Amino acid sequence: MTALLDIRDLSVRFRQGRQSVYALDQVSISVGRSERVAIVGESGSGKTVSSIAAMRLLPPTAEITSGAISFDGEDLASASEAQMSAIRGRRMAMVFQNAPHSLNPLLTVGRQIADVHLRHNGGSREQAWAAAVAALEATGIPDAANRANLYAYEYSGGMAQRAMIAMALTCRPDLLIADEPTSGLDVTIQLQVLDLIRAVADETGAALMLITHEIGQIAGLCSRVVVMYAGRVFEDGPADLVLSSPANPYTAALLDCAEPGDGDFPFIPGRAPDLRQRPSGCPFAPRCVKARDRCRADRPEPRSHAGRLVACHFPEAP
Amino acid sequence: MSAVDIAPARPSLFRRAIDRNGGWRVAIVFGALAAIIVLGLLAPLLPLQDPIKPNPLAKLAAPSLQHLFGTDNNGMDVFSRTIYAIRTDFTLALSSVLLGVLVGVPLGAISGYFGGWTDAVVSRLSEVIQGFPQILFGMAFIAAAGNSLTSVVLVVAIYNVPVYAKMVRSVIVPLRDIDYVQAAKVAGNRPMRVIFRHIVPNAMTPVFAQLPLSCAYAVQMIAGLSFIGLGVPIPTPEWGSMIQLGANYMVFGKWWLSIFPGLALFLSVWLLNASSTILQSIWARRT
Repeated sequence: MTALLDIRDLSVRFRQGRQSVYALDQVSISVGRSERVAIVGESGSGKTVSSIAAMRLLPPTAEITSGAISFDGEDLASASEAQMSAIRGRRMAMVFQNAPHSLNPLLTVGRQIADVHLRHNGGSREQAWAAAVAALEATGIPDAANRANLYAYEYSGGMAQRAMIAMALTCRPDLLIADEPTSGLDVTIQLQVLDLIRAVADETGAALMLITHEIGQIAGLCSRVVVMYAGRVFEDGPADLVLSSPANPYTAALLDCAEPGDGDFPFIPGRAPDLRQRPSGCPFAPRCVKARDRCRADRPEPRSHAGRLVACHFPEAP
Repeated sequence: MSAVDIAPARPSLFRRAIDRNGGWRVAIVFGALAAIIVLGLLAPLLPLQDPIKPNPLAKLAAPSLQHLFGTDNNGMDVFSRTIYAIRTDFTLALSSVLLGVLVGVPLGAISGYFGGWTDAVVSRLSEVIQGFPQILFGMAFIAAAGNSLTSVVLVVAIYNVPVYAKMVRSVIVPLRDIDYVQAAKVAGNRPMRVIFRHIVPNAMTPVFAQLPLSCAYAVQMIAGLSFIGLGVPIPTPEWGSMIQLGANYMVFGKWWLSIFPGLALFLSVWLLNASSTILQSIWARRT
């Protein structure tokens, strides 16, 4: 069976004056039908760029230097803008971080959701409005019929994120991309939003691509984890396997950070690498406690190891 | 308790205008401007003398109770003409500015959104129009297209197109990558819909603040063109042509022919400028 979303060997470069930022380097991510995949990594690891590339909304300064993206067997790289806009919102939907700012301040929330419905399903304005109210209701917004008439600034952060999820799901997409959907929300609301995402994915059967920097959010929600670092895939495998016995030292370090011990907060020393340079070795080597000479000289490519893909010369034996 | 009650109360536009400019200033500027516009609108209903009826028996009469602002060389009542000229000048100014907005805003929006080639063409054309001396351009255009009200409106409108195109472009470029625009694209909106439903409405504030300023400028330009005999044809009451007419009699001590329309022109332009400043202060971020 072919994957729903298949990103293959994708390299993306951003021009920044005379310099180039290598945002993605030979990244392969695939999401199967109804599969739930989490993409984790620090800021600047290429998580968001991968999703924006899948939507084909990279800014004009970005350039795809190699690789292919296909969605449901269709090659997105060669699709026309009109084809893309028919896919976006209907078959592939996306929820951003910072939900309150993702809603147009001059349109009521209901209008914006109705717009999406009208765009993809046609029908009358009344039908679209009814669908918008139903979508808001389905995401657990109380008194949805009245709240649909409110503007974004009258919504709280959690409600705005629910509204974004409602907008993303009005057309029952095959794939929902959630880009750090819980950042900026307080912890109790975070859990509610994650629960909601799980519930709607269950109900609509949509595949989920959850982008997050909190590795703790994955357990119980996603079946597969892709760990990214410096624009490269470091580890890719079943969630329970990767989370319980990480093979890549970077994954292990991330997991350590997620579970603070008694009174001390572990962190990964050093900082995310400068993507303007491409080191010849492993990009994590300068921060890795287990780095050896080979790591600094020779870049590891992802390869099969203990039921998953790992890009490391000296993976942890499970 | 509904969410409306919890939402932070935002002071109304009117409230903010008063807070930032003082009640008196707002009252005087908008009150006087409204008075001028109402005077112009109601002119035919007021007990005024016919503005274009010559009176050979009362040529160049000094201001008196009969003729408050005196009469001109044809014996037409200057008071009545000054009031009727509000209709001419404001209508021409407003229609030319609105025409400029109607063309300039979409042009600027499209050029700002798509960038690249479209943007280069629109921007360079704007610069050509703006770089050309306006009165010279007006003279050339009217010489070619004929001396009519339509030509005057077109000249001023063409002059306003780049003003609005550039203004909207400059607001749109940063809006292009803002979250809700990205969200609108992700939801499958086509580019034109993204531009005109999601971006342009959010880019209109400076346009509203600029409108009265452009009107002030348009009034000046229409009067200026009329002054050199290229604008509004003669018997029609219009400030610029009235001032020009009066200028010939100034040296003979017949000051009332030019002074009154001049004052009216000055007052209108000043009030329009002041109202633009107030509008700008409403939307300006406080530092």
